[in-house]
Amino acid sequence: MRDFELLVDRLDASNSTNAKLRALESFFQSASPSTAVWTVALLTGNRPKRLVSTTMLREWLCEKQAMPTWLMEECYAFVGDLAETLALLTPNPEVENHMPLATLMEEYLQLMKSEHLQEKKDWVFSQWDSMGQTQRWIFNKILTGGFRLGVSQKLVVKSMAKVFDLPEETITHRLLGKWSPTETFWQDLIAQSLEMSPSHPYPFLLANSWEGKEVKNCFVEWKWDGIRCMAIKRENEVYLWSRGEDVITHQFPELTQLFMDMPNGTVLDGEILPLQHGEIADFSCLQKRLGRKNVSAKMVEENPTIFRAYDMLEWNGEDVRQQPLWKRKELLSNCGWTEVSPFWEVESMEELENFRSNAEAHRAEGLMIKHKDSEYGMGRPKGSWWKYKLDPKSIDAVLLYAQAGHGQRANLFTDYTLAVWDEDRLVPFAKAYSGLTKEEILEVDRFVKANTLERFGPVRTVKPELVFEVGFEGISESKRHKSGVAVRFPRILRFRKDKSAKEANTIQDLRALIR
Amino acid sequence: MPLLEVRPEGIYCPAADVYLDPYRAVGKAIISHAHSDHARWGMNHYIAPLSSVNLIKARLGKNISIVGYPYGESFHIQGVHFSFHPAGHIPGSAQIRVEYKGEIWVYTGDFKWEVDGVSEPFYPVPCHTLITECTFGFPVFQWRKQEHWFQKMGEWWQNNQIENKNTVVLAYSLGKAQRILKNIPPCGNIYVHPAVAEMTEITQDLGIHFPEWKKLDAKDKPERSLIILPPSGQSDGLLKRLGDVEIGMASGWMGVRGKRSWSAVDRGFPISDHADWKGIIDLVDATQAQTIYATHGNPDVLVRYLTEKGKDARAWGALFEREEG
Ligand SMILES: [Zn+2]
Ligand SMILES: [Zn+2]
Repeated sequence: MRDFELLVDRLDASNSTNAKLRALESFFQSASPSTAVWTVALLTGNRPKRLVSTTMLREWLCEKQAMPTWLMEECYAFVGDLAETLALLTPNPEVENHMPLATLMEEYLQLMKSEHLQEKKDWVFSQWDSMGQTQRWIFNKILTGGFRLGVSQKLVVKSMAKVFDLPEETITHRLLGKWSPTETFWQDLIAQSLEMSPSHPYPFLLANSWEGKEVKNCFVEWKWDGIRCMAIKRENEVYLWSRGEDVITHQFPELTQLFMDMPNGTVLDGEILPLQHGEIADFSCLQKRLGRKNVSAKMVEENPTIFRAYDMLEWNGEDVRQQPLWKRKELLSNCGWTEVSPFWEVESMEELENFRSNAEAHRAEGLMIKHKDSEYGMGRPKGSWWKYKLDPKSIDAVLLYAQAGHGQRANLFTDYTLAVWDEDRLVPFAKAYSGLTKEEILEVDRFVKANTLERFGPVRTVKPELVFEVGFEGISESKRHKSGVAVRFPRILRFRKDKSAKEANTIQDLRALIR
Repeated sequence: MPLLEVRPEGIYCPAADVYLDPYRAVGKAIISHAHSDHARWGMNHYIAPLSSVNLIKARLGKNISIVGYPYGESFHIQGVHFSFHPAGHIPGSAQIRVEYKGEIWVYTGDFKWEVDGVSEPFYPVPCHTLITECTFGFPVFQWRKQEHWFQKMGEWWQNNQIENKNTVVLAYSLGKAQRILKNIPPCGNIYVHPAVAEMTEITQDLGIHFPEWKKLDAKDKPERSLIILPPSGQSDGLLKRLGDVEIGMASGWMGVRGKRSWSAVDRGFPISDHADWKGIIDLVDATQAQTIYATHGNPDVLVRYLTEKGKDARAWGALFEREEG
């Protein structure tokens, strides 16, 4: 674990992105495949489930060190991070044992299967007894499930791209979806060319917020309020992916059926929309589908859906993403296998505003504006796609901190600090008190208690996973706020269980609302 | 009437009408060591360990009224016996022993067990009542031997030399700075801030030898060197002059990652001039004190712990501001 330890130490020691990048590069240059692949897994948040609860770890520590619980809790409150508290409270061994990271993780995975708590406990104790302090801290971080070293997936990808001489896009693409940190996967990850598995999606292209620039040479289309979906037909199978990189094939059997007829080697980008009495219905109809593992015929009948395609990414087995949008739209319109979401050319801003004012009547949440020549790139490229929302005063934000409420709600976490993305960092911008139903409050409360990463007095840092739609009355620039904006009267409009943290809005989206 | 009590001015001995490390101006003050949160301005008369007299004068002025006593030598005020005993904290630091009618109290001032090469080595002084500092009064603080960290610091300096960088260590100008100067394996030129230089010169007069060092002058352009600065001495202008640098900090607080990232330095070295948790507990045992007053730091945790162990332990408020680590 020595090379991983050294890397983590260097990543933790520095605040400079450049220094972190250099640390990653020199790590990848010399790390063994098994260490490297586990490192990528841990740093990009692809880690195994918890071996034991953090409550259990705290109990074990007290037992091992013959320490009263209150003393351990005082230490935790002082240090603020459980993994580090546990590392500081266990003594340093005479001789440090350096187990390779992969071996450690394989043992971990083995123990995951064990039913015997005692076995897990013995293992944890023996690790604590043989590891140096930094190692213990890393080990505890793995146990408590929170690795945040100011390293984004983007940075990991960038360093790998340099070391293995591959385009960043290729690595990002290969890291999509579910994968296991095996040496085989590592070889695929850094291979110069590779056959992808038929289910493999392309990364979604995302839009920037509309800044009111030139509309000439652009297509305008409705921005639907459904589920963004990539439909893949390859080797006689259909795969539906959501933007959160989840497979949702089984939640939409009627669409899967529909796409079975498409030729192999077809990939579409579109939106799943709920239909009631021949009209687009409210989003809540879709949510009923998402929560289930398998959807019954009755459910399909009561909550039917349709797919409207925006774009074509693969045709006849050929990746067409580099072709200009107008060409891809042509392919899409001519293929005849799917309903195409309508699009127009507009001549002026007036015409654009005109369209926008009609959006609600069409049950759209706004407009998409896409440059005709844009290729289907990665991430959120500038000058390609813009979104122009109807009611701009709401934003999807990620729950970052939670705090217990007062009075009746004193034992429930009801005060939420919400954040939006700035590149790969979450920047808090609003504090909202629950606008949720009682059931939802309880659900969030359970989530907070089970997913606390750090505690500072009454405030808990939680795993950035839950997404809420936040509404507010007004928004203005603010030097005092970390985010650079101040919002007035923020409140929670919806618990977006259909969205993953990655799909939340960005700080640019938020700034674009300042008019 | 207790032998010592807490007053707004500081720890007070009513029988002798004298204060220990007072933080408001009083008549007569017995001072444990020359750090500014212990030796303050404005006392009519100071009594201090002999080896700290020049350090205190350098900080408070040549003209203060001060008298020094060597370690272990007893002096009397209105029938109360006082004596200084090495605290191992910084050069010239002392514990203060107070004895009256067979009752013995010891006030530790700031202390540490580890022999650091510049401070007179600490030893525990048996007493009935102990007033102990607890700056690092959490079990999460367990110091490693200083050799470990000085080796790391030396390696870091060498590494920076390879990258053509200067190495800056932030350390308090009295105590920590001399400890680093004495113990870091030299591998190049060492410069120190003028404030550090002044304290180092006085320490040399006490008979402590250091590797070669130079006072950092405005015209100096150090290269691949080690520069010891007090935390307040890292002005933008100076850092610009030093070019490409790595900055490290030597302080007990660096033992906790969260606190380390607050300080925004490149490297943290948990080298402390205070006792760690075990050091405090060991002292309580070694003095065989029946009553323990905890002060200077986080007394509540220590007090509860000792109470559960059957001791008569109490917190003596936050007598001092948080200070150097
Ligand atoms: Zn001191
Ligand atoms: Zn002090």
